[in-house]
Amino acid sequence: MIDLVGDRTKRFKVISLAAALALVVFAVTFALGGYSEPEFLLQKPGGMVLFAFVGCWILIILAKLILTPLLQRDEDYYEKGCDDSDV
Amino acid sequence: MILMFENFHPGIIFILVGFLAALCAPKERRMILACCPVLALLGMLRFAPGTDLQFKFLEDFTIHYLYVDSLSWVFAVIFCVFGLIGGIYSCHNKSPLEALCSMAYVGSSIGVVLAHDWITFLFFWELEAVTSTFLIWNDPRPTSRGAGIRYLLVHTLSGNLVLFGVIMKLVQGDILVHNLMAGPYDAAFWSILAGVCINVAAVPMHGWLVDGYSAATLTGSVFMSSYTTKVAVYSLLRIFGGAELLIGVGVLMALYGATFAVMENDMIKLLSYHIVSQVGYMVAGAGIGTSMSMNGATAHAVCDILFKSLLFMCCNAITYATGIRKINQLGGMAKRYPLVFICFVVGAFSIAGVPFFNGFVSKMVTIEAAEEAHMGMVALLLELASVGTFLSICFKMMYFIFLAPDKGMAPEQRAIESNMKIAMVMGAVLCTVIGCFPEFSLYQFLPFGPVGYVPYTVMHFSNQLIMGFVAVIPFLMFLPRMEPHTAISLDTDWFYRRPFKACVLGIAYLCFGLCRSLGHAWGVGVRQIMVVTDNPMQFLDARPFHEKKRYSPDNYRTSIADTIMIILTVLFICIFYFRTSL
Repeated sequence: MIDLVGDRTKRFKVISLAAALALVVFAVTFALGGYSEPEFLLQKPGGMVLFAFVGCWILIILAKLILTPLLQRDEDYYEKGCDDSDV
Repeated sequence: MILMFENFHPGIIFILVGFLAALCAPKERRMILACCPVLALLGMLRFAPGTDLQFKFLEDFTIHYLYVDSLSWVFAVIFCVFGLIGGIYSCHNKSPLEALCSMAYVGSSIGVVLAHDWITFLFFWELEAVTSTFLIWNDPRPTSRGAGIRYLLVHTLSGNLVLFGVIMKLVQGDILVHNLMAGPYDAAFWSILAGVCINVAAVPMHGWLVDGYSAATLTGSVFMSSYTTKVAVYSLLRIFGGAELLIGVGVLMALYGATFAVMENDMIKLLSYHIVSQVGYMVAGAGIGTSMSMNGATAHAVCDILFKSLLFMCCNAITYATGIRKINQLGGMAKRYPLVFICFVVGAFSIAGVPFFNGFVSKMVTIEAAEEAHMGMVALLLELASVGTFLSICFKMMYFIFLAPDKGMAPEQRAIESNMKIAMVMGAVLCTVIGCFPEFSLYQFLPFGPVGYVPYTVMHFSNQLIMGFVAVIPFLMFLPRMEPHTAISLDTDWFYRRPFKACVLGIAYLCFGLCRSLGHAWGVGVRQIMVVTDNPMQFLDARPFHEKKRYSPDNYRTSIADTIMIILTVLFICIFYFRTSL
């Protein structure tokens, strides 16, 4: 099994691999003329790379840094103080 | 009639299979659940588009209980297919009630999509709500009782809204289910739309889904993941296709579900948020209203039934084996359950839209339709929700459940049943076949004309791969803080579980107190009336400032001494008289 949380070197290697693969796919698409007729923002060269990176950060920040402290409670939140806890 | 063999309704076959399974011994039940749904599938495939079966009801009313057109055919067939897979997955169950309810639930869902008149539509709509509630109540956990009550209350509201609209439609002489977008936009229109929106889990009316599905039985939640929301999607496509309001609702659902899934720790709750998210694509597709978007919504509903149920089956198989539902207590499951891992990978790649899996050929149709309709922002936001799907299912679930080191908190309690493995493999094969051969297995059956979308172009192919490769980088950079912790996320169900519940309890206590006070006052009043009616003459004779002598029977009784005295006196007189006379 892979411990990417504790092993920072391994994590860095996986990040590098993912970046390299994205670059390869981008280059192959460019070579095959995939970006020749962009009709939409994400079909422009690098559009999806930028969108996926920024979009993923937006979701992580929104979910883990803003909503988690705001909305997460103890697991017995609904049971606390209720004599009919199962309802 | 319904019961003639050549006209046998596939939904009724499922309901009969459920009754038969419930009445049989466990060994026979296993065979019935695994094999008999094939009959319903074969029965459904016999009906060609255009079939309209009906019977007379109450002299002057015709019930169109089975109507097959290209839209209802697609939904009914995929419902039958998953009824078969679900039957195999759940056939080891010991509970006869669950067997009955799961099959009746499938049957009633098929009944809704094949209904051509409002009465049949409403009947099966309500039956679906009731049967699915029992899939929650059948779970022995104490929390399931409350969740089932909440689920039933929400679906009762939905059913009543549809009922109100249907009654108004019938009063207007509108008997058949059809697209209402031509107007009038009256109370019936809005009432039916609101009822359907509750069942489709439109934000903010989606709380029942996450709450209910996570409380259902392991096999029950697999069935529930595939039917209630998809029946509502069918209803939107049939009745409200082209309602622009739905575009915003769909986009909100897609983003909301994807964001909340990132926070979630419970596997089933996480997948439930992804139902909300994926159904958002379908709702947006129904709202855009072009033939391409409607085809996209239909295609995605078909694919979603397969990949979402596959993910539910994989997660529930792990819970079945280990008894653990929380992601932060799992890890290393790929090594212990390699088949489950492979099936999960297929499901995860399908839902994320990775090439060669079915999500790739269905999800992108709706996004492309939004682009073609010059709704660039809609397309962009739906793409953002796709990034969220990668993040929470392909990365978070796959890593923390399957690839991370085993924490040793989930020892195996029992082996995964072979029927569960067969069902998972069937789901995985279907996801892959549709992904690899979309024209042959999916597009040719779509109901709104030619699809007009080519999935395997260099651009589509590379964009999805780049999305996956790039999105994993922020995930890995943030990985130490990505692991969920033991907590629950408050959602819109908080409003009826806390303030609304407090409000209802407050009103109940107020009514209870009022009743007690009234009861006490009534008792006092009755006692006073009894006193008065004890001696009405005394009451009538009442004079102020006059000392009243209360009635007492002792006042009218004579002492025993008086009686003896009288007897003795009479005796002595008699003796004296007789002595003197003699």
